[in-house]
Amino acid sequence: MTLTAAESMHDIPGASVKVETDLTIYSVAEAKDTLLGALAGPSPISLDLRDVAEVDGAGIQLLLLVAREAQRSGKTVTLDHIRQEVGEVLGLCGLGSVVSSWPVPGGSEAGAR
Amino acid sequence: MNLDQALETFFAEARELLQAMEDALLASDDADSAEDNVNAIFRAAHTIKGSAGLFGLDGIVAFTHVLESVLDRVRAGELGLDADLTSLLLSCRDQLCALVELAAQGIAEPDVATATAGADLVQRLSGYLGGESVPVKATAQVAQPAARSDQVHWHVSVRFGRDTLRNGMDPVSFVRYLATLGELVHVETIATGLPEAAAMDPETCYLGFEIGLRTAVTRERIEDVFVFVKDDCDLRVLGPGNTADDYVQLIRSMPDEDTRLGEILVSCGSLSRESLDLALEQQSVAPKGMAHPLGEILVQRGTVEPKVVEAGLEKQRQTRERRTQEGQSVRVDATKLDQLIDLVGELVIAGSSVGMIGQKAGISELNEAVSTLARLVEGVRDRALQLRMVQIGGTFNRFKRVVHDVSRELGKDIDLLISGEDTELDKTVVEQINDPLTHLVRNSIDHGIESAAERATRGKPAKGTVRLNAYHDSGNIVIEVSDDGGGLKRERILAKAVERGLIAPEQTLSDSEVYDLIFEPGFSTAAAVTNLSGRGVGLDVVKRNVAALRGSIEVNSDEGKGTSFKVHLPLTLAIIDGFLVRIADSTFVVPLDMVDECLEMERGLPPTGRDYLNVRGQVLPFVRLRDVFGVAGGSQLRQSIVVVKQAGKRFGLVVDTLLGEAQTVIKPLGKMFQGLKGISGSTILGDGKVALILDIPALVERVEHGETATLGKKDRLVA
Repeated sequence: MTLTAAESMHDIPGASVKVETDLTIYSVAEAKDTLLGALAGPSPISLDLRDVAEVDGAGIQLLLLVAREAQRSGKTVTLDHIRQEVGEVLGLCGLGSVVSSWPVPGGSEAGAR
Repeated sequence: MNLDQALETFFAEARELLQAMEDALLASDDADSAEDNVNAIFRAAHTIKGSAGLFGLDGIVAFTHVLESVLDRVRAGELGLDADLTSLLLSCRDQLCALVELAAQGIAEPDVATATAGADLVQRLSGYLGGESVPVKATAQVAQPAARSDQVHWHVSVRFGRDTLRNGMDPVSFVRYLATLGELVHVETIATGLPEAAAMDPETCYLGFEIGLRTAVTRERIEDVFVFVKDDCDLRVLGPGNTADDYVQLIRSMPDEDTRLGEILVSCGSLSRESLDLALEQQSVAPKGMAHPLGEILVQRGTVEPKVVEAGLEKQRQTRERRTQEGQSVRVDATKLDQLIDLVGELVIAGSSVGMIGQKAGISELNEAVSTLARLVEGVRDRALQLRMVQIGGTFNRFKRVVHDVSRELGKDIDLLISGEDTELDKTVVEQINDPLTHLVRNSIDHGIESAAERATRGKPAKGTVRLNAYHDSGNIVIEVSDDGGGLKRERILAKAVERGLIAPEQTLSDSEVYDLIFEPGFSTAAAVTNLSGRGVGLDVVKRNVAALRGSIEVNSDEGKGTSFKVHLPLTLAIIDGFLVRIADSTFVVPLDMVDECLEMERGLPPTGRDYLNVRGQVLPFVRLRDVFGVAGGSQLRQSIVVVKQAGKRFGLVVDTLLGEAQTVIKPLGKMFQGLKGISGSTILGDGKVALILDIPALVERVEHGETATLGKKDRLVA
């Protein structure tokens, strides 16, 4: 398992990156650089989603890309402070149980479930 | 991104669907196609609900949902589609129309009136829903759920097209909408298509879903959820009627994912673990070509239901056919079309100007090229104008509703007979003729057709008939509204006209003159004689509207048998073939379609005051345009007569010179001249001069009313 989400990760040392835009088709182009850039930091990497009010399909696939890249580089990424609206979308896509099982798309299925 | 565009498509489709729904509702008493009609109504409501859900138009979804529930019961045969329910459904359709139009204007919350109307309708609809659930007729098709309460497991596998996001669609919204159809057992987001990080374009869609869904709706309705992306997504819906074969095929069709996909199918509850293991085992043991019997084994063991491929294939074929049909037409913005017509108009003017210069220059090669060019321009013009031509059938069909509503309101039983619906005319004309026609149709029902009792005493069938007919007649289109009612009462009209001082008591009038009186403003009002009451109210408006389209209106009536209104309209308002004539130094244009023949007056005209001729034994009345327009000067030695035909009547126009044909781009007259009688527009000739287009219907009227005097100094146009 490479990516987990937790409500409080303050005690774990590592990079925390605040995502400041919504993760929708309107903003994913710039968010892609931010998120992939965040992977450069030391593991575990925390993505702070407190300012993300909206996620759509474009955002979902971007998060999945980040998850895959993190797995490939052997890092752990967590999603923090997920707002309810965002959580609902994740849930709808079957990604609701981020805490325990974050499916990793593509590549080797090793860590998928 | 292109959300606006997608919404526009939605609104356009919704309008079409609502139209289809109305047509089907109005035809619902036709026993032969009753089932088709009910299905059409249901489909329309269902598709609108589905699409509205995608765009988050919750008001529409909520209302349509109730409507759909009632329709579902009608479709299941639990409810009969009687007159009351039809009327209610028609009102619901109107409500839906209102909601869609509001949404199209960007108004999410309906105003109070609309909201109240909606609540009222929902209330009435609920009356049809009742609490009890009546068992639904068992259907042979496995693809349909057996009963309302009986939820069935479906597996939805979808891979979205690369441009889905860019087209303004959010893949997640489809899942969200599926959730409203039933219970999502399991959703798995598939992103195996994601390329390397550097190559991944965040605005390209790489997503797909594997969804397990428990719902009572049909396969068709699940597929309809994806109707907006159906062309560029890979969608498979598996459920009752699909065999394990189909699941294995699904797994195989995605070679990169097969192991995992199998797992997903299990977690979606779509396949049992045993079936999967068995399938994979067989697959690995059997040689490639032998993999096929696997499904049969599963069927034999009763793991899955027997396949009903036939129905599925049929559906697929229909969908494909529909898609090809859609591909054959293109939606074009009407303003773009107008711009094209404008440009073609300019091209015609420029072309004739070149032609004129060519003739002056006398270079034969140039003239040859110019004539080729002229022919091509003419072709372009005709094609461009044809683009705007629409069949009048669409307009006619709307009157089914008018007749339905008005006859119900008045308690009369009336049939609407439509003919000539494939007659084509300019879109602008169609749009503007709607109101006058509605007026005429209402008028026919309201005042033309007698009450059932009255009809019985006259030996007529109890059911009244209103006819709408359209046909082409010498460059015009004629739209006929006729009824088999009581007809116009000549004596009453005369008495009324005398009373109002419109005519002198001793005046003798022809029938058509009498009937024309009903077009006088405010001619008959509520205070008028019973049988006549209302007849004529607003008809002056109809006449004015028709005149504004360069048309004319004519009434025929047979007392006791019925009335017929004939509206004559020009085919187009943009470009016509014109026939140029000259009086002194002024050029005039006669619409070529109206020209019947030309006569040369070798022996000179009859003396002033006798404005008719003997042409091959027929009387031909004529007007001297020189006098009508007060043109002075020029030689009057060799005058000619252009014989024009209007509404079946022939009459002559006396002119100095015949100049021949020319394409004429109609330019409207300035405000100051719009009230002029006898002139309908202007055009620019090849040499840059302005020519006036004659308004033949108005001139006919002059002849008929014997007005020979000039238009007078004030109206004098040409010096």
